[in-house]
Amino acid sequence: MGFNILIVDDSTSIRRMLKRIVELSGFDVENVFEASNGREALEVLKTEWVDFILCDIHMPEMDGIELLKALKQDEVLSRIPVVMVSTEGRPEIVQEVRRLGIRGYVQKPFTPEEIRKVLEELVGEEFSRDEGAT
Amino acid sequence: MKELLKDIISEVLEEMFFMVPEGLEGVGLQARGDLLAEIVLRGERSIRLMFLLSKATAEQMAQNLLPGEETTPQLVKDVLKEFANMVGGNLIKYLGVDWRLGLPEVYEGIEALGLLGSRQPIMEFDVDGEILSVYLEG
Repeated sequence: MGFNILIVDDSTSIRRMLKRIVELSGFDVENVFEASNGREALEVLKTEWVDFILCDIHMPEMDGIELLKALKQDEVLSRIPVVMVSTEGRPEIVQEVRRLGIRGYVQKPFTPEEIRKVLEELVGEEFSRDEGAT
Repeated sequence: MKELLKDIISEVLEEMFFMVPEGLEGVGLQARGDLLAEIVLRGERSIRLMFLLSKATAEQMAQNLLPGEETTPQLVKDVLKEFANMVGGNLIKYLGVDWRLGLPEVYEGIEALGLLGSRQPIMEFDVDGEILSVYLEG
């Protein structure tokens, strides 16, 4: 069974680009779900299990920080590793999202290699955790 | 601010869109372009950033970001919004935590030129033979 990944960004082009990077990176990907803001992401998570979330911060309706807070309140959803991919680079904001338990941070503009690297680290961590559990 | 903005625009174009912009000496007196991307940064005051460019440059940006995909007008506008968002987001880093990044907008044709009015760009770039004009207010 491959990974299910949720990409949350209000930009269609960035969602497509991230999806392409994920699919071409050699990871065993089963499904890539998309949402254009935090609210849509929570809707997806009502019906689909995802292994990782790639998430923007600045989005209309419900931003990435609000989404992180909502995930944290749910016992199951709080276990999903989240990587933020955002233009936001102010240390105070980055610290705030780190305090909310994110597992990686990539600032836009990014290269495909940066996304691949953070996903590789995440996949490695999750794989080690699964092995440790068995 | 101008030098910082110049560096940010160059970094975003090079890293994300694989385009190498060349800063032009002096600026044109007449606005040239088909599409205008705008983003507003709000803090102790408002800073409005606008980017005027040709349809050909905008389409090239979309093709470079998503090779092989059909560059529909909607996708091109989305790509320009993201470009403005990245430039604004990287600029706000130097302004402080009290600043907020607005949502980017894209205008075209007469509406774009109407918004610019008689404003003069603060800098221009040659991007693959086409002009990218940058306007800053505030």
